[in-house]
Amino acid sequence: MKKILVLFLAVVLGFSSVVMFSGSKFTAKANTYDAGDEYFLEFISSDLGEKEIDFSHTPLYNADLEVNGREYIFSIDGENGYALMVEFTSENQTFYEIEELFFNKTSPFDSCDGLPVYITHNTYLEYKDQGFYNLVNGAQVSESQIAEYIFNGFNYFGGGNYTNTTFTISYDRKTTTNYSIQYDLPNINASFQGGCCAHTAGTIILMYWDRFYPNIIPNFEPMMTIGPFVTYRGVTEEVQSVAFELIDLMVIGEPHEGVTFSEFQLGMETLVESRGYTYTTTNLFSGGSFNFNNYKNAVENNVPVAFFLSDYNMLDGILEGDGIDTIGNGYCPVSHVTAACGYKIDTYYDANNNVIQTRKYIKVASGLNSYGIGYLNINGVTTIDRAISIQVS
Amino acid sequence: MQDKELEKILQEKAEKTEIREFSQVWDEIKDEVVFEKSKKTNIFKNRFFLTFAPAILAICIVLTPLFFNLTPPQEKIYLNDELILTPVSDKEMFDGLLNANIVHVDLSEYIIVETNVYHTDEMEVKGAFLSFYQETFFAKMELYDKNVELKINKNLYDTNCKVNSADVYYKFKSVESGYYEYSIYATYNNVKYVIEYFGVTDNVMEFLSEFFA
Repeated sequence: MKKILVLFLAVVLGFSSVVMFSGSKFTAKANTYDAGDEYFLEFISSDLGEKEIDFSHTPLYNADLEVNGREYIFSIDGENGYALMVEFTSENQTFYEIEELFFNKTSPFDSCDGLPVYITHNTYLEYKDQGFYNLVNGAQVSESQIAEYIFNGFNYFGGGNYTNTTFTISYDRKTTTNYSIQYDLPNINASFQGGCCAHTAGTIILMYWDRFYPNIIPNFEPMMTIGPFVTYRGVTEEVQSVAFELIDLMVIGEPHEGVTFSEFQLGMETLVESRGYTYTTTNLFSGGSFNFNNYKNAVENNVPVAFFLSDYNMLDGILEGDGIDTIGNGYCPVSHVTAACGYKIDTYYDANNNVIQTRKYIKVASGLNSYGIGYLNINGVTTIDRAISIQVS
Repeated sequence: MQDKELEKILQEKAEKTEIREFSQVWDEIKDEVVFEKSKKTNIFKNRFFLTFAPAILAICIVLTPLFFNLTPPQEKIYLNDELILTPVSDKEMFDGLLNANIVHVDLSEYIIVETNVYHTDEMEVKGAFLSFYQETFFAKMELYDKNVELKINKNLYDTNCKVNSADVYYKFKSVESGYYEYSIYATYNNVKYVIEYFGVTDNVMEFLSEFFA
C-alpha cells in the first residue's frame, strides 16, 4: 500500500512540473526565459504593452545543419504571429537578431517537413532527402545557389547594378509635403577603403551628432560656412578616421564582407560610448511593419534614422508634365544600409477631389555615388528589414 | 712484311700512277651516263593540298579584315558605386588626375574647399570629388574618367544643351534652402561631370558658360 502511495505521489509531482517539453519544441512559461527569449520579448515589447503573450520556439538551421536561430510562434490577445531570429556568436558572447516578425501571418516554415534552414533574408529552405528545397516553390536548390545564400547571409553590402524603371500617374491636381532635418545629413557618397554601406551610413550619422556632441569626432567641425552658404564638410582625414574605426568595430566573429544589423549596432554603440556619450536606438516598426508615422516623428524631432534594406528603389526623379507625372527609379537588388533625414509625400487627386494615390519617399543621405542626397522610394518593391532612430546623448 | 716497307711500296706505285685529264675520261664514259629526271611535283595534284586548301583559304579570308582592324584591348569599365573615396590635398588630387590622364576643365578661377580622389582597390585614380565656390555660388562636383559608368537617367533632366562643346543636362531642384539648387550632368573632353550647384541667384547658365569656357 505504501509503495502504491509513493508511486502515485511521484506521478502527480511529475504532472505538476512548471516546464513541459515536447520533443524539440519549447513552450514558455513564466520565469523560464533564456537570453534569446528575453531578446525576443524586448523586441516585441512596443507591440506587447500590457498584453499577455504565449509563445513557443523551434530551432532553425544553417547550411551545415547546425542550429543557428529560432522560429517563434506567438499569440497576443488572440492575435497570432511569427518571428525568425538568428544567433551570432563571437568568443563568449551571443548576439540575437530578429530578421522577421509578422502579425496575422503564417510562418513560411509552417509547411516544412524536413529541417527548416534559414541562412539569408527572405529565403526559406528545408533540408530533406539529402537535399535543400525552396519552401516557396518546392524546387531543389543547387549547391552554387546555397553558396550564394551563405555569402549573402544577413549582411548588408551596398549599392550598384541598378535597373531603370518608370511609373506614370495621371491626375487632376497634386500636393506635396516636404520635410528634412536642417541642412539634411552629410553627403558622403562612396565607400571607404575596406568598408561598405554600413560604415558610410554610420559615419554620416556620427558626423551629424558631432554637431551637438563634438567629442564624437575630435578636433573636427562638421559644418562650414562659405559666404552665404552653410553646408556639411565632405570627407576629411578626421571623417575617414572615424569610418576606419567603425570598420574595425562593426565585426562579430571572423571578418567578412558586408555588415549585419548586430555588427552595425555593436560598432556604433562601442564608438559612441568610447567618447563618453550614450547610444540609444528605437525600433520604428510596429506590428512587424515599418511605421511611417513613427519615422516622421523621429526626423521631425531631428533624430536621424538608419534603414536596413534587402532591396530598394531609389528615385531618379519625377518629370512633371501637364496632369501626368513620370516617376523614374533605379532598382537595386543588393542589400543596403542608408541614413535618413526627411521625407516627401505626394498626394494625387482626381477631378472630384478624391485621392488617387499617396506616394511617400524617404529623404536619405544614400551613401551612393549615383544618388548622394536623394529619395528612397518606398511605394513599391523596396524591402525594409528594419528602421531604427539613432540618438546620441 | 713490315708496315714501313709496305708504305714504301705503295708510295712508289702511287708516284708511277698516271692521272688523266678529265676531258679524256669524260669522252670515254659520256655515252654511258644517264641523268635521273628531276623529282618536281605539281602541287595542284597533291592530295594533301587539295584536302586542306579550302579550309586554309577560308581562314585567310576571315582573318584578313581582322588583321587590318586590330584594336587595342578594351579598358575595364568601373561602376562609380564601386569606387573608393579618399581625402587628399589639392596637389595630390590634381597630380592624381594628371597621372590618370583625366583632362578636366580649368579650375584655377575657383576657390576650392575640399578635395578627394575616387580610386579603385588597386589605387588607380578614376575621378575626384571637390567643393568650390565663388561669390555667387557654391558647388559640389564629382568628375570621372570616361571608363566610369554612371547611373544617369537623362530623360529626367529638364534641359539638354551644348555649352561650347560640352554636352550638358541640368534640372532645377528647389529653392527651399534659400539657394537655387540645380543638378547638372555633363560630358566634356572625355570627362564626366556631376555637379550639385547652389546659386544665390538663378544664374546656372552663366556658371556653365564660364565653367566650360
